[in-house]
Amino acid sequence: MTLRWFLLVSHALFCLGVFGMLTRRNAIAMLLSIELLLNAAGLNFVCFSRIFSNAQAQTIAFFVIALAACEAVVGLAIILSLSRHAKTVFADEAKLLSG
Amino acid sequence: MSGVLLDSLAAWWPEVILSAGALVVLLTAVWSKRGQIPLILSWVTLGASAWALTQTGVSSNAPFFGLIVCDGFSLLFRWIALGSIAITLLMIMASQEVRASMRGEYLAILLLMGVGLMLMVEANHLLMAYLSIEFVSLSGYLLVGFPDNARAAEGALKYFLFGALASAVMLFGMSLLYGMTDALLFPELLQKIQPAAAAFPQGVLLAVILLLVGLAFKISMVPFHLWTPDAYEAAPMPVAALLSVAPKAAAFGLLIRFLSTLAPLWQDLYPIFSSLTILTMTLGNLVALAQTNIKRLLAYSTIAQAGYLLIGITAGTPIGVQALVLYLIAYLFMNFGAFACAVAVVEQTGSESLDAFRGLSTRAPVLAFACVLFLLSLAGIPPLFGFMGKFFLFGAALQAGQTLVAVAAVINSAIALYYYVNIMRLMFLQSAGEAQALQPVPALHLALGVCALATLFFGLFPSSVLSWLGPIRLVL
Repeated sequence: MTLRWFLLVSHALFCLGVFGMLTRRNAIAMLLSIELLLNAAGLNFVCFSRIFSNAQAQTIAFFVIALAACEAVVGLAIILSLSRHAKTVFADEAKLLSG
Repeated sequence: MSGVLLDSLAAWWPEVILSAGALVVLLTAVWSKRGQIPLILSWVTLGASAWALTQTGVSSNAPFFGLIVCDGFSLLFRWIALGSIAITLLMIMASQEVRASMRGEYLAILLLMGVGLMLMVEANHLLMAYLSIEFVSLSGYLLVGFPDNARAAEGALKYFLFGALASAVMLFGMSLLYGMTDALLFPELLQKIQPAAAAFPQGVLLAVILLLVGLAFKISMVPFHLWTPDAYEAAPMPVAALLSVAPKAAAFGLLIRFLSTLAPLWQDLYPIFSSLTILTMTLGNLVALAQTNIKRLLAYSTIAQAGYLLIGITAGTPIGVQALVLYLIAYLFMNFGAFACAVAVVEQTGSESLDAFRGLSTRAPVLAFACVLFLLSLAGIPPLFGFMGKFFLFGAALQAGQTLVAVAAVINSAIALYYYVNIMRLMFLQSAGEAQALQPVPALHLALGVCALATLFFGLFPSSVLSWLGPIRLVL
């Protein structure tokens, strides 16, 4: 159980998140990809805090979990508003603004 | 323990008052749906917070266990944050667009954004930096998406997706940086960054670049500017004005603090910054030339202005940073002024097209004159405040030996003059046709008056502002 394996997981999560953001056009799927990115960073903080025996970094992981929830609330509210008005949850189908 | 907290609160009253006031506004909004009470309470809160800021000022100890610092540098940016919130409130009072859907919640989110803005420039810890950026971003998404229509929802969604991605990437960069340095506080980071960079040269640079993505998004630096025109076009005009000034100013404050922490890496970061500075102002100006919607034109103009501001960072000298702050203060007044003019025109004509400005000199002579003042200041014409800022910025670049950046900036100023003067041409040389005379409401007159006076007065007598820049001694 070395640090190497944990970092491998967190970097894989990060890459999956970025891949999801770039390929998915469904706004809810993009929101999920952002959660993956945040969890990758949270995992990093927890691993490093174990290595350095520094409890401060573990509290950061808690903050990240709380903030991910806030972000989901705001994001879902915006997506809900879009689906009510534009009848879509696909980011590329909303095309009122351009130029 | 409680002693530390009490000492910390002594330096932090303005933020405490602002947060408490925002919550009170939120509560009163439950009972007074459309009433004036939340608005009056917001003004009281803002006034009390400003008074507290004059009383507390600079604190020498580090409040909240060093999580934040209340030094002279952050004091100046806290005033910029409070000032932008105040001008935005004036514009909201003048805007039918917002008042139609305005509820107390809107004002509460605005005030809370002020707390976030102040925290951003005080942050002295990686977690605090991340939390404050998210604080400002989340309230920004809500303010853009608040009007109940499809356009607002779409703009807010684009803003949200870009912003959330940028801040998540930034957090990942922070976690990597922490893993390589074992430091979370900025002063600790400054000590440990050098050995870490020696041990993992590419790793540290990668972490820092990932981290800077979040800040680059906030200041809409190319290539992270794509959200700017869409979010501004979707947002109500006063909110667009706020987003173009306040989060940018706070992000520049945080960027300067952060880069002064990473001073040992500046040699590696410099090429990235200097090329992106030139790219940001050139792209902003060239795309602005083609715009026919006033909101999008101003959006691209703010991207170009962010490019000018970045010169202060690229110069990498204390004078560069001072020039940046000077230009930020000028930018606060002239950009809010330009947006206030646009609010007056858009509110009464109902059109966001540049054609709505046609013949403004006969329809509203005072407004047209104020508008010329702001546009000339944005373009950097001599007797105005914007010229002073640009003069110091370009001078700082030349003094640091960066002729290329300075030359690019001068060429860009010439390009920018074209689209600013184009609006003036519409206002003065084109006939009004059947368009009606404009009568802005008193709140907007006040906003315009404050901005115009500051733009003119500080342009003629810059020494009063220069004396405020004394406490800025952060070196890159």
